[in-house]
Amino acid sequence: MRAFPHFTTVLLAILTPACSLDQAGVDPVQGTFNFPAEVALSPALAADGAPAFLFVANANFDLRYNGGTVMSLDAMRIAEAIRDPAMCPESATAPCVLDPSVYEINEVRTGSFPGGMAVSTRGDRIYVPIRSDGNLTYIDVDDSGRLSCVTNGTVPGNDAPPARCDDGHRRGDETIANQRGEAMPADPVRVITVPLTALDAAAPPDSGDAVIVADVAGAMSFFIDERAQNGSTAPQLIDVISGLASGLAGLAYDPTSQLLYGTSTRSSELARVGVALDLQAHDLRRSFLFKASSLFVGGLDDGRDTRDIHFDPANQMAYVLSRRPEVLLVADMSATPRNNGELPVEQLIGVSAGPSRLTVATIGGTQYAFISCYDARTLYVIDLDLSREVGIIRGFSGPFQIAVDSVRNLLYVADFRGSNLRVVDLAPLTTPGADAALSVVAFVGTQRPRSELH
Amino acid sequence: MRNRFALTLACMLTACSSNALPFTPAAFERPGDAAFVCFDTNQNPDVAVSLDLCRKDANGVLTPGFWLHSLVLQTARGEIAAVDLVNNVLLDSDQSVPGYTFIEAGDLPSAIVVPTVAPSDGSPLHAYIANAGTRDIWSVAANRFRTPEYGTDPFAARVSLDGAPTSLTISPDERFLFAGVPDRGSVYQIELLPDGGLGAPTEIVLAAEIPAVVTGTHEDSYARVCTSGTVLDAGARPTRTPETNGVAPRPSTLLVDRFSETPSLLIADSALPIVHRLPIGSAGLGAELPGIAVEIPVRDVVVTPAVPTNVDGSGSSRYLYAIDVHGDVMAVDFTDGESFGAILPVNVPFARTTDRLAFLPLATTLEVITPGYDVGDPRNGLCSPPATISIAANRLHGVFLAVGFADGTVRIADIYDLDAPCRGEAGMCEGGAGSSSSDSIAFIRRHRPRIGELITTEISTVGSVAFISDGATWPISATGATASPWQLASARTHDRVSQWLRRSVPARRHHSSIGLHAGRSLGGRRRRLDRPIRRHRRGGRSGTFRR
Repeated sequence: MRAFPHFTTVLLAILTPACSLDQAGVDPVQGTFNFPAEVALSPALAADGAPAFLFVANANFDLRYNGGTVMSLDAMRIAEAIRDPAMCPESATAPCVLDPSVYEINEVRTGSFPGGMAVSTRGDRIYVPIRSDGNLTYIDVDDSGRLSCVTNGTVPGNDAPPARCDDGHRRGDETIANQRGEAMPADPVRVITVPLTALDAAAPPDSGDAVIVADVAGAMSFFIDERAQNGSTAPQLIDVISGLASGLAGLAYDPTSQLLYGTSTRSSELARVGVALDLQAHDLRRSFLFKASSLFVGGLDDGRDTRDIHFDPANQMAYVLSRRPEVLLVADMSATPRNNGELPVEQLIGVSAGPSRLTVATIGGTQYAFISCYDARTLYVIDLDLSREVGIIRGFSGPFQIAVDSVRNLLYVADFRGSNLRVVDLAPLTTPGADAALSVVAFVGTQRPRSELH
Repeated sequence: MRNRFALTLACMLTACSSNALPFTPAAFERPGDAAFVCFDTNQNPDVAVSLDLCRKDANGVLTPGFWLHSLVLQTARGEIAAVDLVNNVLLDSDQSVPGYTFIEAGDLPSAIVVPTVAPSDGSPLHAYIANAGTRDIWSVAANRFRTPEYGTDPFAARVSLDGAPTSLTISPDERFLFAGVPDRGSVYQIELLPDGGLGAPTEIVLAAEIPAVVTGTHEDSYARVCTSGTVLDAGARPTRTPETNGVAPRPSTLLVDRFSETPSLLIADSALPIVHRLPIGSAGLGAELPGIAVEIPVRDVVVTPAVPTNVDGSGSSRYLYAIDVHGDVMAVDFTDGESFGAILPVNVPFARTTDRLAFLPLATTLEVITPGYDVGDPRNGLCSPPATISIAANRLHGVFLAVGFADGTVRIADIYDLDAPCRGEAGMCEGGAGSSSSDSIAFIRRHRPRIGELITTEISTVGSVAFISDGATWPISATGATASPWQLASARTHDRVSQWLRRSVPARRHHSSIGLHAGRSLGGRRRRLDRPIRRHRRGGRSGTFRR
């Protein structure tokens, strides 16, 4: 009995500080990856016409910290390091490891669980829907690649701690859409940007972007981010449409049909949404989304889980990444479908377990599809001209989002489970008849072992 | 004491919260091409022998100890898995490693070939693997799959090519390998040397000239139809503009035509609308013959042996079937004569296309199967089924086309049914020997999906069905008629719809001899062959009528 009070006292002493409700939590460690979920390259702004910056959104999936981060890395320096024999010798038997803090320009702090990431047409803004906040966070990027998401507009100095994006940079429940009684749904999964000139031919050049966010509950949010000649404004939520196929995952804009396509993880439906602009008054704030008839993925076993989609308007082709079955669907959008309302699929190219993301890029004059297979831990490289795989890159922990630098012939894969970036050298694809196999040539960030995540 | 135990327990519980990595046993990972090999397990160690030794005898009995195996390429891992098909056992190639392990092949193994006849000198039978990633051909002693040899390189020989081979086949005399290299538009010939050795490859560049389309027609009256309904003939072939996917040939699938007097190598071209033909002689491939113009590039091609032109067994015809790049199956006259190479009309006039077989899903692979068919005597076995087997739609006896589809089904098209003259209900069909329950109505026509069930119930609507057009509501009656132009067309064809609506049915029973010497995987996802008949769908909706 005498020992009991001592044990209780000790226990209370341990637990009491943890029960405070004002804990700010632990800030993410600067310069490190923590479940990188999204990766994107800036538009070609470097002197060689190559992307200058590499942006990475960290999910903080294990909630170890009080939020996620968005990092800006110097893509040119990373590429130089990889090509430098002193740093990454070709004879090395293992990929070289680059410290992300060395190549980081700066980072900002956001909420956890980014639901996609997109870069504006001009490359001066990043849009990251955040699932934990249920909003669209936008981050400004200056000419040197520094990120800023605080309302006073000052860019933090080199040694300043990362700033947390303020409420002024979180959009989704204000102005026009609010007047319509709408707000951005709370579970975003993908975001894309479409130049306003693609939607409205009369729009002035470089007038801004439409930002579309897909929500897993079967909704899309439509933002307009107009840019004035001097300065810029915040994205405005204009319209939200719901009642689309549930389980939306992939999102893409087809310039030919001028429709947005959304893939579904729960049905064979391809949701199609149009954007109606007020072309008479050219008042974009009067725009709205409307449902176009859905297409269906049919004639497969069973076609009820598609993860990503990409359009090739020049050849009128569409590529849909299917998880059931695990294939890349090649559809000729100009062909008559076998059944009315079906996606006109003409070919299936098999991939491995758990295909997640699809990126299409042209390397050496040939169009390739790069597919991350999360469960199989592989990356497929498919020659779309030959309609077959030309490489399977293995050894990942959890490959997810992909970004391709087609000028420097480098591919970046966010390894979600390993919390690092893997860099694949695509140079062998540019040499006809080359015998070199594709492989990971560098890690950005060390491999940090994690438990299996389900 | 109790407090220390509680504290210790509390610490242990918190430490046990991390997730352990689950053990994932090895399994097929994106299986690709497959080949068959027979093992004599009566010997010690087991020996790979000629494939015929694993064939069942006239009584359907296997010779004890002779076990048929399949070597299956694991394209995602770059491995070759061996499966004992008699005992349904996956073989572990390296028992010193926990779990199942397979023999590693090169990067992106794309095709595998095993000769059907073991070397007469007693040397080991070898398997040959084409690797698209490492751009080479490897050979491995087949015995290694039953009897692993640890610590030694399993591969006897390797030969490099200048491009990535994606297909592989072997000459009829099994002296040469032929490898298709699409990115070079050529075929490589590699001589097979003793003990699994490989000779220097010889490249044969395929011709890029597109031959003229043959417009002749092939008279074919093969049919066994015993029904009261109206039978529709095939519609006229559409006029097509030849399609191309490039300017250079791109060999897709290789096939050795063993049934011709002079064997030839047929090559499906996925870029140009040609099926290339190269004769095979004692020295290998000869100069390319005039190709077959198919108007649309094709991915896969098969040919039939000579089959009777008529249902009574008279006449002789041959056919070539191909999957075009749109996923449709075409039939081409492969009979020597004026109409050799002519694409045949095989579908009804109002079909989506009249010169493609009446299959709707996307075709991915095809094979000609010849269960119980005597190539030397096509009339052998005509209407003479064993007493224990009843004649029915699910009994395949003759020459048929098996097509694998993207929806996971395998469907059969009739070419020559040895039971055709006696199909149909006895007393109802002339010569019929079927029963009212299993084979009442016969509807067998060449190049048509094999009929498993006749739908006798007329199409009807369920509930009130209507569609809205231009703001007006159009109710649809049970006859399918409305006042709209669309429905007028439907009414005109409605009386034939019940006859036109046929369902092809896969083989109801997995026959062990089907595909024994196919040497090619059917691809796609395997489905049980006894799955129910699937209803024809349009617009992704099921039901008796479309809304």
